[in-house]
Amino acid sequence: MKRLLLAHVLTLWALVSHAQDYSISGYIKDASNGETLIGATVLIQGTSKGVVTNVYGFYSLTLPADTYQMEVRYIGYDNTTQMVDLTQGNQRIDVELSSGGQELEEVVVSADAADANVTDMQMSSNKLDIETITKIPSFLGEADVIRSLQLVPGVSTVGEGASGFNVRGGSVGQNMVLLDEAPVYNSSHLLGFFSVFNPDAVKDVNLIKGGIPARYGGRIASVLDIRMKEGNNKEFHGQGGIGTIFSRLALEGPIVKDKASFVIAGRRSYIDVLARPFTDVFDGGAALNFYDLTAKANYNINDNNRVFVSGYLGRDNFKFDEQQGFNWGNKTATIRWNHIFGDRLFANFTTFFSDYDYLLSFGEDADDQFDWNSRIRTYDFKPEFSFFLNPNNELAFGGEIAVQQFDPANATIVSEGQSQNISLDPKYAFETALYLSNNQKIGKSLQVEYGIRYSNYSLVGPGQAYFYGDTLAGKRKPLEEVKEYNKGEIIQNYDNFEPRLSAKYLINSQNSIKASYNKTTQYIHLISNTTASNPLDVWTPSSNNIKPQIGHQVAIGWFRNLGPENNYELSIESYYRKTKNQIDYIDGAELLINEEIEGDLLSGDGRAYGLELMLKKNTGRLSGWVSYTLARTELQVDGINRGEWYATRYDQLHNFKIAAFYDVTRRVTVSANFTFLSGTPTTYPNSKYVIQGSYVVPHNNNDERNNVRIPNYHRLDLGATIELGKLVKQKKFHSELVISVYNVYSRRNPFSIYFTQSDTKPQAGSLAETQARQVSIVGSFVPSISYNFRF
Amino acid sequence: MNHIIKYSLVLLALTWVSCDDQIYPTLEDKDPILVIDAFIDNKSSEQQITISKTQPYFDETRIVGVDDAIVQVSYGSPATTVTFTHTEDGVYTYPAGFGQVGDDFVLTVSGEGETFTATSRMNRVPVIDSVTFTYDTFSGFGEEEEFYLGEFWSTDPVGEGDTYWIKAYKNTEFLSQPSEINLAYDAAFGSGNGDGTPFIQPIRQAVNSFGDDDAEFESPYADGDSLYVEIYSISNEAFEYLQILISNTNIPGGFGALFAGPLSNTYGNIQNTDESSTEEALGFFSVSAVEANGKKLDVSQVPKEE
Repeated sequence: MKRLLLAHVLTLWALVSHAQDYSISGYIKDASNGETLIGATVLIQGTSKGVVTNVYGFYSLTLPADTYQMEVRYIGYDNTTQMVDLTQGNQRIDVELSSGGQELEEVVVSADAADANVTDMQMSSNKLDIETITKIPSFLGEADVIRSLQLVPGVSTVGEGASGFNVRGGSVGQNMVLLDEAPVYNSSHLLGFFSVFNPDAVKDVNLIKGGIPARYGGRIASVLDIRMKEGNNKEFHGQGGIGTIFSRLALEGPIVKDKASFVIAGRRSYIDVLARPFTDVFDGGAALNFYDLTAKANYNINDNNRVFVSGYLGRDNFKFDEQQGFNWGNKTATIRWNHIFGDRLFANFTTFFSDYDYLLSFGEDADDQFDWNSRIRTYDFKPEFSFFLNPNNELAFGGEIAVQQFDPANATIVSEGQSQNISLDPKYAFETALYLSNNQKIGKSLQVEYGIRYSNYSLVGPGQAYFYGDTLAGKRKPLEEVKEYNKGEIIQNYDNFEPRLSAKYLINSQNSIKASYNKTTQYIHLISNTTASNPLDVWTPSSNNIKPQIGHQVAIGWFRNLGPENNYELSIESYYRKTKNQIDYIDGAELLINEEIEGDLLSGDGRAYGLELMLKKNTGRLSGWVSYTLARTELQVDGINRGEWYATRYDQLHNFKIAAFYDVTRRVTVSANFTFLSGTPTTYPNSKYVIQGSYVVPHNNNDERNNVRIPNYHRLDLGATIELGKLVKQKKFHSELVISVYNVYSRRNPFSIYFTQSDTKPQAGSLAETQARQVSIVGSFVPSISYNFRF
Repeated sequence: MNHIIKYSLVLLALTWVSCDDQIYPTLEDKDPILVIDAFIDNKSSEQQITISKTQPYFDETRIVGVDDAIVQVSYGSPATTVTFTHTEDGVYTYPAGFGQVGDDFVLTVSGEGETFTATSRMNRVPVIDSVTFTYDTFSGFGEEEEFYLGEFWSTDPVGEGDTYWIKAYKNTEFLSQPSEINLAYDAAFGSGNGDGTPFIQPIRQAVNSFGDDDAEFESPYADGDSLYVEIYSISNEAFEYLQILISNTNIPGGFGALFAGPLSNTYGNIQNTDESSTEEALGFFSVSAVEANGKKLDVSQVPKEE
């Protein structure tokens, strides 16, 4: 395999030394604020040659010496065309595009519908721009990245209020969520009601559900790549809002005009502040709030060098009084350096730090106390290169070195003044990866991207390896031996070759077929046995007992644009996903502060398959999309459901959503979304018995898991955005009111059904009454109003 | 305890939109399975073992007792065997507890051509030094509430791996809700979390009942109420069994449903002596040594300064 790759690289290099070729390269930016544009198309008129800008807005095209007409296109911007003279040598051409008819002044949104749906290499991906995200009617009026993503095909969730999201049958912990290249370990505030990403600071959101390029690794279900704004490098601007839950403020502007800029955005909730007059619950140090701060700065040193520094800090606080409560949050910091070698080799060096931790404290005085914190921390260096070999080949290669530290528990317990340290030892892991891929155009119609990622993982000392004996499937494994390892010693090593392959065949300018296969490996695991993932869930590394999770996915799709200006986009995709070493748990598993946690874990296989359909209208006063997914997601684990396949808790057969936006007048836009989801599975008992006269124990005679479906879920949300003030063209200060109603017809959508005995004491000699109960997390309509401004 | 009330209020503020309604699904009918409910101890009071059958989940009739089984327990070395006699509705009794700490016990239940067996050991149990009451106040939504909390005091003996079931009785009535099952692993909640110390505060104070969720706030104890606490030593296996029993019977409703685990079956330690037989029995056999203490609340004796 390695030799084959090497031979291939050498052949490609041989092609480089082609005489009389010159390159055009540069950045494509937004003329109004200097933000680079990701995925803008650069075309050479009269030829089929073209290239798309990378995630840093850079492009490079190598062509025979001649003069050309170069056209640059990007959705929502005016096309530009310019003459390029390549007879004299390489040309550096940075292009600034003006946004077209998207300003409020225009009644008709004449977004220049591009043909990316058909022509883009990447399948199984959904891009959402911030303008769309802010238009979607949202819970409590807060535009939210992750909740918006739940409106696209292939994305589901366990239910309202559950944190994270599920992609093509993957669990919450199988999504790689990246904020400016750094992984975010918990993407939710206030359990799952809001995500940690402040829309004011986000530039681009790209969810990759299949055909994952070789440059991404580490999780097996999806990649959510979120890029922060760079900050306006021309003039100073601000925006913010006062909502039902948060207040937000974001500022951006040049540090050195056209050279350096910054953006800083913060949010804070104020449920506690608003509630204070009505209750004294929050006196004496109690708190309930969450906040986040996102900041970024960049500096264009010269044409070939650019540096970025960005960071995120978020925290949820939940305090009962001065000493007691819990809090959790993420911190990330990223430094990046973009360097252009020559005109064709673009390099990005990223180094980041990411940290997720939580802290709990209980006890009213020092004599009786419990303190616990847990943390995962990653330090990472990632060099990445794109080499624009020629118009038909774009090579990507690079690597990654990461050091991870897991602190499952630093805890002390004090009882009657006697203190005990019940901490667990930290674990250390070392993860490296190398990748190489080529995006190649073959003839006019075929484009393939083929690559390989090699990942290598070690659990290293200081630490222990735990060896367990065999037992019945589904029971706690007995610990037999613990082996100590010194600092730097390898406790367990794994490595994997992960082939990635995507192909696109262009039938004509409005039709294409795409297919992909990818293998992915995940070495760290989110340990969570509750219906919804919660902030106290712990990440744990692979070890001699926990094998890395392996995922294989194949997908095929038909992409069609309709209408004279590609007004409609249609995509139909089908996928099959197979996973190995999926984690499940024994009954009664102890997952927190348990040194022998690995004895409580089970391992099994997963399979998921589905059909995804999306029809999108981009132009006109009425825009939006319809999304439908038909899917099945199952697990097979020895010790659960008699070892037979069972549906996962987030399995939904039908998942149907509509998002629609309508510009009523120049001032008013209304929006609606509708969601229909098949009921998720749950476990019903069929009989019961009584233990000790008091406890009515439910029993399923077939030992089934997730044998029944809860009722279907459906919900309608409505929203309206009303621009305030005068409608003048060159207005500096804009403000708007956003009104939304979530769950308009107050449906009590089921989150779960559970079985329980009644609270009331039974009469002597008779049994406690048993009942089934259905929980709705949001059981009524929720109206909200917020005020947004920008200047 | 104060913080738990505040915590609930804060959660209430969060969850004003969530709701929890009774529904009436139809469940499959399945064949009954034998259930052996055998928790015995060394107290001098009558010992009971109940042999019954599972019944449909929504069945409201009384327990379906099995009245023709042979129920025997042997213990000690050399072994002594006692036979429990059937009284009514599947309840088999023996006049008083037997055996001592360190003894191994074997339960044998025969009937309908099958024989089931299980083993347990009577483990050590610490004495309860005292039972006390404290006065506290709590104010929420403008109303000042005062209340009295009960607490017991005892110290886990040194040596890891002691497990206990602590039972509380208010005015001789057992706090019998699944949410009121109070288990300890050494002095704390789980293995490795605290050995040889006084029981941690959340365990010491889990002898208070705050009544129904929906009802008005109520002080767990009022003047003249009594609190009686018993510590039962149980095996590690019984501790695990009861933990699974709690997770399957004390299921969080409302907003707590987000953090419920999957429903599972609660399998115990009772085996069919014929390994080839497909007949199984649910339930558990556990033997405990018991220590107890109690107190009557006299509010004039409880200090009221903060």
